[in-house]
Amino acid sequence: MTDPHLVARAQEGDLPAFEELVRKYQREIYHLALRLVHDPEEAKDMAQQTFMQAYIHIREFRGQSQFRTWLFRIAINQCYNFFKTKKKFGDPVDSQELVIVEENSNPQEGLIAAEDRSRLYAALERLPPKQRAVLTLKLEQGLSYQEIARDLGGTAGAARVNFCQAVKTLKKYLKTEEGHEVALHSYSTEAARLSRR
Amino acid sequence: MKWRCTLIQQRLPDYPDGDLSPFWKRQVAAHLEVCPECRRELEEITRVVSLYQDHPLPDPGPEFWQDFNRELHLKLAQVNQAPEAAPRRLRLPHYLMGATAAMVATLALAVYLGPFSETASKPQSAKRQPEVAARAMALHRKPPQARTAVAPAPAPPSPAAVKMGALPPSPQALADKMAKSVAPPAEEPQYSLAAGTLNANQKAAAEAEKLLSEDDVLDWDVDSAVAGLSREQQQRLKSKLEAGR
Repeated sequence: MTDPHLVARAQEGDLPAFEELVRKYQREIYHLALRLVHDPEEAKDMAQQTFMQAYIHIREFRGQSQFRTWLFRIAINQCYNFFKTKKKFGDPVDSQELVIVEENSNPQEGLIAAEDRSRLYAALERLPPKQRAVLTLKLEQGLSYQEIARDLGGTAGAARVNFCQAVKTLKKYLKTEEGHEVALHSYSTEAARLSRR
Repeated sequence: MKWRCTLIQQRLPDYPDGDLSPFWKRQVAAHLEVCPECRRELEEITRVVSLYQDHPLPDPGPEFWQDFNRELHLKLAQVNQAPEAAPRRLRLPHYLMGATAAMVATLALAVYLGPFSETASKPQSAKRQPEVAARAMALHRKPPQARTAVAPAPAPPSPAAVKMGALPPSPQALADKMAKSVAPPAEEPQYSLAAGTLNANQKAAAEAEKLLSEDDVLDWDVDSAVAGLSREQQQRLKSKLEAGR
């Protein structure tokens, strides 16, 4: 069934119809929350809160935008409220806590990928929440600047500027992370060489 | 030119497959052919975007989603069973609520007791009737010399009654009579506050005068009025009455 049909049934109190909408969007909402809050447990809580709020206020949804846009808007507001109340902006989180489910991976490639991933996550943590949100919505969800503006507020031009700025900042942080890794790598090899002597 | 590079670099993340208009795609392509700095910038941006897209967040697994859906189902079921919340009312702070309640109570009292009330004129007219009667009595009252001489006398004599040879009724009896005889003003609409009250008062005064001018001797209790006087005092009164004729 299409989203408008499911939404119409959910507005009449049909819980299974709403749960079908949940199954459709739960991964996207969870990944968006995880990108923003960087904590799997908190992201799970944020995602559940998002769907709870959507269910409570489902009758206020008038269909002027897509249900997905409305849902993303709720998710982002929940995450912003989380930042305000918990003040967890920028807290470093060990990226190895994230469960990796990959099959048939080459060990060497896996190591490089793990290194790249940890560099990427470390750099993302340093980004402001709004730039993180724009990157996620643009690169992972594939939304247009108009849709991003509807989700985050502001204009499409502002969303474009935010995205460009986010990419530049991420590039800069990745360079610094790379520099740190190179420095660490050279220190460890030097230390190993000295110990052999 | 640096300003041109700045303009082009703002659109590099969307080049070539992103959200760019055909005009800007042509502009960027033309600039990249002549600017090595912007070409290097485009390569770095492409590398960063590829890194991001190559490492999406890992899926937490089917067990995670089973727990997620089970917990969410329980929460949604609770929300479904809970009664609908009352519509949001404007919540005033406590001190304003008290002030509002006080204002409402004051207004209610003013309406009930004030000039807007239906019975406003009734108690006023009822109050004023004995006053009017007393005033009318006072106008016809003689100096209190006889009264002081006659210690236990209940009421002073009025000239009309004296002329007729009978004593006037007591003010209380007169007020009672007026209360019975004066028509209640409730039948008339009390649209004008002051005018309505005045009309009632004027009517009461007119009725009182009418009553006093009537020779309604039968209502006066002469025996009880002279009962308290001594023989000497009765003689003196009689001589005065005869002199008054």
